[in-house]
Amino acid sequence: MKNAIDELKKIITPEKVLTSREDMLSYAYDGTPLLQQLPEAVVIPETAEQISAILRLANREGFPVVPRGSGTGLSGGAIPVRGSVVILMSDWNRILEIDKANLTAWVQPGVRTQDFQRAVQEQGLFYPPDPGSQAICTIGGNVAENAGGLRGLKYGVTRDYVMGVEMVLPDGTVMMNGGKNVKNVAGYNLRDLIVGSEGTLGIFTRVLLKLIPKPAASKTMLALFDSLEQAAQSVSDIIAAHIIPCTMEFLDATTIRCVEDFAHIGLPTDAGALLLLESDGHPGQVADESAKMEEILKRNKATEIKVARNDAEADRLKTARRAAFSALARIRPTTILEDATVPRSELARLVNTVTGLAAKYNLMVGNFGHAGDGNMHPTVLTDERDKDEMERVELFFDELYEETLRLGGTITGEHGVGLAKKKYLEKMMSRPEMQVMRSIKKALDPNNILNPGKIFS
Amino acid sequence: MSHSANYDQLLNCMHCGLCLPVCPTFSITGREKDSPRGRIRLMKSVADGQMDISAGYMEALDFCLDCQACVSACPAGVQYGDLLEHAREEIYLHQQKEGRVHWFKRLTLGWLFTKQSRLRALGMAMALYQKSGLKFLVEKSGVLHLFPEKLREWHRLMPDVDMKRPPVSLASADKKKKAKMRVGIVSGCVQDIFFSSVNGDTQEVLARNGYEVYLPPDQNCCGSVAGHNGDTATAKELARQLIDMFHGRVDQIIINAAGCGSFMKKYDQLLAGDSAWAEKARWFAQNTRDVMEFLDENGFVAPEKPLNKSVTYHEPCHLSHAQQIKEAPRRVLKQLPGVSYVELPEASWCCGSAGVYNITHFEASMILLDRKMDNLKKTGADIVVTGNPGCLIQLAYGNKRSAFQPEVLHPVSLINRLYKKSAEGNNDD
Repeated sequence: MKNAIDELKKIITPEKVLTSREDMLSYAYDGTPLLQQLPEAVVIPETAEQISAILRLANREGFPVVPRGSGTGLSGGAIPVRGSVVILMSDWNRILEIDKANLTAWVQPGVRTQDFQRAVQEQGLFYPPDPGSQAICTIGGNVAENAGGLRGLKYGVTRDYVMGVEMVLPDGTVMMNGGKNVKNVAGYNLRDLIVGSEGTLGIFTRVLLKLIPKPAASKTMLALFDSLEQAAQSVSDIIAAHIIPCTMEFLDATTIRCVEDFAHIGLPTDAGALLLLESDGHPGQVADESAKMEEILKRNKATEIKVARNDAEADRLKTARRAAFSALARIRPTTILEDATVPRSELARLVNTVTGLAAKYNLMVGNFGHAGDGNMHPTVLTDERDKDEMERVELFFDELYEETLRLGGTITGEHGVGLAKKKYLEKMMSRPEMQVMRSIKKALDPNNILNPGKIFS
Repeated sequence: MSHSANYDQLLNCMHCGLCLPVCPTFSITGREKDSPRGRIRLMKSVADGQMDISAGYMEALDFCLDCQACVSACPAGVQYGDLLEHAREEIYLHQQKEGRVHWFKRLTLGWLFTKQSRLRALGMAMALYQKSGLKFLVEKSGVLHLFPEKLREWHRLMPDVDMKRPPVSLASADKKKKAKMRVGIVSGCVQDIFFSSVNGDTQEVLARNGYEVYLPPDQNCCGSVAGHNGDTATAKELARQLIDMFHGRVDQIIINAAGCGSFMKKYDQLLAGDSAWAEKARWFAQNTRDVMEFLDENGFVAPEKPLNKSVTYHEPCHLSHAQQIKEAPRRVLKQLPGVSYVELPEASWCCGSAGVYNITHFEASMILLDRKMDNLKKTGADIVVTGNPGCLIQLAYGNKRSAFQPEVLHPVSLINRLYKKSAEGNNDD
C-alpha cells in the first residue's frame, strides 16, 4: 500500500492525499449505525482525469476505491472497505449552469442538495427531492443512492430528476450519458442503471438535473390523532379519494415527543400519532385539495388540525419532521433506523406489524415515515453495549423484513442496500435478477475495485 | 466499553452529519476531522483506546472554536460543549503528567487569570502604552514593519483599555419605592480591563429599573478561561471564590458577558462532587441571568427619547448556543423607541473571536470575521450590538478591516445611552 500511496501523490498534489490516523478515523463511518472501517488513504481529486488515473492505478495495484460525498448515507454506501482509498467529492461543489430555456441544471456532484434547491428557487424553479439530510447531503450521493424525501408521493425521487451523468467508469474511462432532450430512447436506458448504483459502477463528475416550475401556492397542515390506526386510515382514505398531496408524513407518539424535545414547535406530547400534510400547486387546486383532506381527517377523528400560517411556519414543521431520525437518538445511546416499504394499501398492516414485533421482542421502537409512499422508518432505540438486547434487535429486523416481503414490500425504499441490507437482498430478489445484476457489475468492474462488498455479498 | 456519563454522550452521537453545515471550522476546511461529528469520533477513539492523545488529536480539538453551533443543530441533543471540555481536561492532565504544558498556558491559566490584581497591573501597563503616545509613535514610526505580519495584526487587534471601575453599590433610582430585589453584577476579568463602562451601564440600567445593585470590587475570573482550556482544578477554585462573594448577599446574579454566563450557569455541574459547595453552586447557577435575559424576563422602563437609528444584533455563541438564549435580546431591542431593527444574516455564526482564538488561530479567525463583516454590510445597520466582550473586541477590529463600519456596542450600553439621552432631554425642559 505504501507504493500505491506514493503513486497517488504523483497523480494529485500530496496535500490532497490524507493518511493521518485522525483523518482515517474521521472517514471511517457514514450515517449508518454500528458500522465502521478505516481506509488506507483519503484523496481529494480536482479533475476527472485524476479520478481516471486513480482508478487505473487501483486496477493495476488491486486496491479498492470508495467514493464519498458528505457521508450521511444510511446503508453504509460510503463506509470504506478494508485496504481502500476513499475518493472525497464534497469539494466539487459548483453549480455549473442553470438553463432556464430547457429547465435543466448542470451541477458538480459535491453540491449540497439544499444549496441547489435554494439556487434554483431564486430563479422561480423547483428541484423537489428533499432527503432528511438535505442541508448537508450532496447531489452525487443522492444520485448514487436514488434518494427520496418528503415530497416523493407527488414528485417522485432523485431518479425522476436525473437527465444525464458524466462519470468515470471503474476502468478509468470517462463516459457521458443522457442530455437535455425531454425524450430520448436511443439505446439502453443507462440512466436507470446509474441512478441508485451505490458507488459500485462509477464515480460521477457532473450531473444534469431536471427542474420544474415552482408551484404558485402551498398549504401545510398538521393533524393529530389518538391512535396510530386513525392516522393510517386517513392516509388510505386520502389516496382512495384520488388526492395526491405533495407530502403526507406520519409520526408515532415516541417520535412526536423526541421531535418536540428538540424543535420546541408546540407539538402535543400526549398525541398518539400525527400526520404532516402539504398540498401545493395552483391556488384553486390547493384550496380544494386541502378542504377535502381536512374533511377526511375529521372523519377519522383527528383531535386537532393546525394549518401553518405562513411559509416560515410550514418550513419549521417540515424541518422538525426531517430531524425525526436524529431526534430519536435522545432516548437511548444507539439508534437503528430501517426503511421498510410496502404498497400503500398495506401501510396500516405494516404499522401494526412494527407495534406487534416491538412488543414481542421487548424493544423500544419509534416509527415514522413517508406514509403516502408506504415507506416507513421503524427505528429501534437500544444500546449497542447490551449483547442480549442487540440479539433481539437482529431478530426483530429479520421478522420485520419477512413480513414486509410477505406484504409485497421492499427491503429498502430510499436508503439503498449498501452493507446494511445485503443479507435481505437475496431473499427479495429472484435468482435471475441477482444474476443479471452481478453480471452487470462484473462487465463494468471485472477486478471488483469500485466499492466492493456493497449491495452483493 | 465504558459506562461513564461522558461515554454515553459520545455514543449518543449517531453521526447523522446534521452538525456539519453549521460548523464554522468545517466551512473553512471541509475536512471531517474539523467538524463536530469528526471530533466526537476522535474523542470516542481515544476513549476506546483506538488512538493515543496524539499531536494531531490535540491540534484537531484546538482548532475547534467551542462555539457550540452544533449543539443548537443537533436533534439528538448531544452536549458537545461538555464533551469538548472533558476532552480538553484530559489533554491538560496528559500534558501535565508529561510535564509539557506550554509555558504560556501555565503563565496565563495558572497565574495571570487567577488574580484580578495581576490582570489589572497588565491593563495599567497597556493603558500607559496606549495613552502616553507610545502606541501612536510605534504605529506611525513604521517600526512595526520590522515584525512579522501576524504580530502587527495583533497589535491592531488590541482594544483600548477601559478600566475605570463603577461604584461598588448603587441604590435603586426609584427612591419612593422599595427596591424590587438586590442583584449582584459579576464584573468579569476581561470586561474589568477593557469594558468597565459596560459594567457601569449594566449597573445604571438595573438601578434605573428599580433594583439595588451590588458590584463587589476585585472579583477574580469566573474560571471559564481555565475551564475551557482544560485546567479544571483552577476553574473550580475560582468558581468557589466567586460564589463566596455573592452567596447570601444578593437575590440574583447578573452577567453581561456570554462566555462567563455560560460557564457560571454550569457551576452546579462543576462542583457537583464537592459536598461543601454543591448546594451553593446550585443556588448560584440557578440564579445567574444574562443581563438581556433578565430585562426580557422582568421587563424594563421604556426610554422616553427615540434613538432614530437602525440596529442589528450579532448573537454571541455562548449566549445563543451554550445558553440557548436566542430571542430575548432581540425582543428587548425591538422594544426600544426609534430602533429600526434589521436582522443580520447568519446572526448565530461565530465571529471568530472565541476567547483567544483570534490570537491562536489568526487566519481562521479572520476568515470568519470577514464573513461576519460581509453579512453586517448587507444589513446596512448604523449600530451592531452584541453581549460578549470577545465579540465586541473582534467586531471593533472588523471595522479596521472593512469598509463598512457600524458602531459596535453592548446592548446594555445602547439602552443606557437612551436613558441618559432621555434624562438630558428632561433637564432641558
